[in-house]
Amino acid sequence: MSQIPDLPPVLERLLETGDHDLIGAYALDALPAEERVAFEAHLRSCKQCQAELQVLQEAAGILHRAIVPPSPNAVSFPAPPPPAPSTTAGPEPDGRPAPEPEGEERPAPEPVDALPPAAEPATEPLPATGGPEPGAVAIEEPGVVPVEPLPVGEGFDLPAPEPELSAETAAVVEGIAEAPPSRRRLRPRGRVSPGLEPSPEAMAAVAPARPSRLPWLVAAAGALFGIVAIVAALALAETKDNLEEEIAIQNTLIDDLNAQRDAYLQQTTAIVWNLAPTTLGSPDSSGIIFADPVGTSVILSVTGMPALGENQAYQIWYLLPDATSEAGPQLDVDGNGNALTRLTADLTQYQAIAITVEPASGSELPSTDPVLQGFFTNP
Amino acid sequence: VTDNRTRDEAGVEDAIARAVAAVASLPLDQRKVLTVAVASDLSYAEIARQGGFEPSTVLSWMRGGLHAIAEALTNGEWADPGDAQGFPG
Repeated sequence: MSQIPDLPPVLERLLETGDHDLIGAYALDALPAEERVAFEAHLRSCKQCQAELQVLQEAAGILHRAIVPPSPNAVSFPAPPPPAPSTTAGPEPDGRPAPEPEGEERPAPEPVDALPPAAEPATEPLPATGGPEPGAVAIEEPGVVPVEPLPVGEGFDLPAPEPELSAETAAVVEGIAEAPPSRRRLRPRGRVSPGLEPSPEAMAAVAPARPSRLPWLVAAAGALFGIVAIVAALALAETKDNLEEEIAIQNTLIDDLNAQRDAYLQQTTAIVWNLAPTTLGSPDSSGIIFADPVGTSVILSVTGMPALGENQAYQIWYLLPDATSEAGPQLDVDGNGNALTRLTADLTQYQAIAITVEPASGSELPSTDPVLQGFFTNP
Repeated sequence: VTDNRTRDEAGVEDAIARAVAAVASLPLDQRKVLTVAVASDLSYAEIARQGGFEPSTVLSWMRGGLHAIAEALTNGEWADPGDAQGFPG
């Protein structure tokens, strides 16, 4: 192929390798401008590629519809015609095919003989877009501009592709195809919709799109959210500090209370009074009274009490300071001479406690002298 | 060769469903390539660079994927899309 002096390097490679896989990228409008021009030159002379391209363009159009459905607000672009001239419209004065009528299906490519020579400069019709944009190719004829070569997207008011792939693109590469084909529209496309009739709404929207205020709103919302988040974080931090300080104070109070309690318990252990046998009682007998520090629970325990007759019982007496006495409960002494009973009287008003032997039926006053007695003293 | 049924506006939704199903049946990387090619302005070479694929592989996936969709649209009237490499030149 090197014997063709003016052949572009990409076309040389194309022809040398016979790489017809470019047709898929061409149908998807994914060929760089240089390779696209070169492939179109090849396409003019390859009937099989022409037939295959028609099939692939239809598939690409449906795929485009699946991923990017038409929207009333979306800007849509008619697909540029294939390099083959139309059979129903005559060629343009410069030899290029006439613009494809809007709303009509793309005709099948003509045989190779009908194609213009590959060496001729390529031109493509542009849709009316409401006026040239900065950097757009100057219009020499109404509705027709020369393309030498026409890069992909240029002349269609498409946003220029970023020179470097953006994070959005990276996300697209990584994420879009992970899920079922998305209906998210990233960028308007042109060539990937061949074979599909553009909707009237989309055609009406070909005029240059007004800059959207949505990005600014999103940015403002993001900034506001950031400010709110910072304020909330500061408030939370302050609240956390206050709570930690409060917890420290409460812990100090708890420690103080525990210390006071321990000191109180150290000083006010259970109160104990002892009862001793009198001369009438058994020398082996004894008694002890346990009282908690607040005096709400008083227990009398006696041991060594001699067994009594059938009609006798041990009776408890509380002795007042004026030498009078009040009757307490009877003691149920077991066979070992032991008894344990709870006293409910307020012992603080009495001077002493005594146990006498009384009739089992009980007595209002002591009828005998005590056999066991004890005095309440200050602990 | 074109199946007019897919061009019928009433059948567009059905065609889209078939295309989606066809794409879903493709390997993940090939699905990525096709989707990105449609949804962005990236060239096949850029897609290959971003995806870490060989450019020739991306070209083959594009062509084969479109044939898979085309076959789904025509209920297999066309050749096996997986045989894209076998298309004559």
